[in-house]
Amino acid sequence: MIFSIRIVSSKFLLVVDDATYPELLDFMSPTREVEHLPELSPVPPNLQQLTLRVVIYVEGDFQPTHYVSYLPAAIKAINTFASSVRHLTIELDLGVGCLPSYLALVDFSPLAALGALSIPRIDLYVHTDTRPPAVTLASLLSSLAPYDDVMKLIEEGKLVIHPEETAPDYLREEYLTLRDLLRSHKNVINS
Amino acid sequence: MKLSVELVDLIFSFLVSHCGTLLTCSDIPELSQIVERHLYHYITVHFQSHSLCDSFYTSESTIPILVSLISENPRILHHVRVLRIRVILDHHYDFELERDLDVKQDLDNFAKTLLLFPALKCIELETSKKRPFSWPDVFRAALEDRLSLPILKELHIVGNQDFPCSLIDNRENIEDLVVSARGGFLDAEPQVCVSTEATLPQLKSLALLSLPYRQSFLPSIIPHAHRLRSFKCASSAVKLLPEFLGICSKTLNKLDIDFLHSDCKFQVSFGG
Repeated sequence: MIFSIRIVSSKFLLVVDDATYPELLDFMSPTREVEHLPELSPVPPNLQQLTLRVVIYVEGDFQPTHYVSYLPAAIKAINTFASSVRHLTIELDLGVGCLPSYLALVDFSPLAALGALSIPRIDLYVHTDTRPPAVTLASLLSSLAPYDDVMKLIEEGKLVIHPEETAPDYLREEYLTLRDLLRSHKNVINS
Repeated sequence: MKLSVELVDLIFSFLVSHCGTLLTCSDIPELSQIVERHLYHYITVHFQSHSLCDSFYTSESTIPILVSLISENPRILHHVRVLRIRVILDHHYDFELERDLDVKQDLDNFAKTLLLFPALKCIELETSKKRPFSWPDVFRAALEDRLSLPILKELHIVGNQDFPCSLIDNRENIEDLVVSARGGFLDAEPQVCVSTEATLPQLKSLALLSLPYRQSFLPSIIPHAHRLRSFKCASSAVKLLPEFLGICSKTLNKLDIDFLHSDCKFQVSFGG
């Protein structure tokens, strides 16, 4: 029986039984084609900023049953548009339910493609739905350690990792309601 | 050391989304006038089915509050830059003829107040996602009037609503459009949508956060998007990316793709 051992953090080890989950080896393969990605052409010649928001999740109550990742599609899009991009932002939303141990099943290997890019600035935001947050800089560096070109980008300061942060969004998230104002208004009147 | 008014004003401009901080600072007499500008930068007005008034949503309308605030301090009107108009419908109300009449009446009554806002930069129209909704005539006329303000640059359309093409046709000032709608541009006005005289390629940024159901959506929006600089697509709208690359790739310099719920997923089932 073959076991894969992946280090998630300094305090946590997960042992995956490859005989029980043979497909794990399949999704590790970076050559696997992504279906349904629309043809991305023509390539905008002046594209400066590219942001990709990606969800990866592992499902299963007591043992993993499904693995869904949009990361290969995002990498395909990056490779298509990269020629003119000056600032690339990638946000990985890791859905592992209430089981941080599933983090060990997340396949970061498509990120190895970043090492071949010549984009001056790359921001990588990674966050989970677990409480307390399960992603640390150490665990991410551990996941990316096998990819020398990616590690070189980090050392050069071209790739910056933001653990447990979300990428800046287009839409406002907080709203001022009139009820807040009324509360203040009444306070003023009462005083 | 006393900071200049301009510097204090600039500092508070970064706090427009932190209403608690602003409310606290507004109690300080020396700061109140400066803070006031930012406190009313973004306001939300709720309209809801009267049958919901005792439910968990809200127990009181915000319109009387707004009218009261304005009557006591008309300067507020000049401070509001972003106005979010939110409609909450009763999903269990099935009488077709009377459907949403109370909400529409409230919106029509609000039309006069809406016309008083002179400095809006953004209007957000948000309706329920579960039920289709059409804007009533009097309110719509006032809305279109405000959408013609030269300083108004941004329009957000969120929810399951039908919005007439006239909201963006012939409005050179509207540069940023956010659509997260299930309804879409009205089929009833296709002649307005396809007319080259009525449409301007004025949009500089477009965010499609979901794909509207109506087939007329794409031909309605594309004439406005030939000079897009920024495009964001999310969810099912990712499939429209090739269409937009085809028309605005020369001007596009910012692209944001959110793959959540798109079809571009990579899926594996574990054995066991």
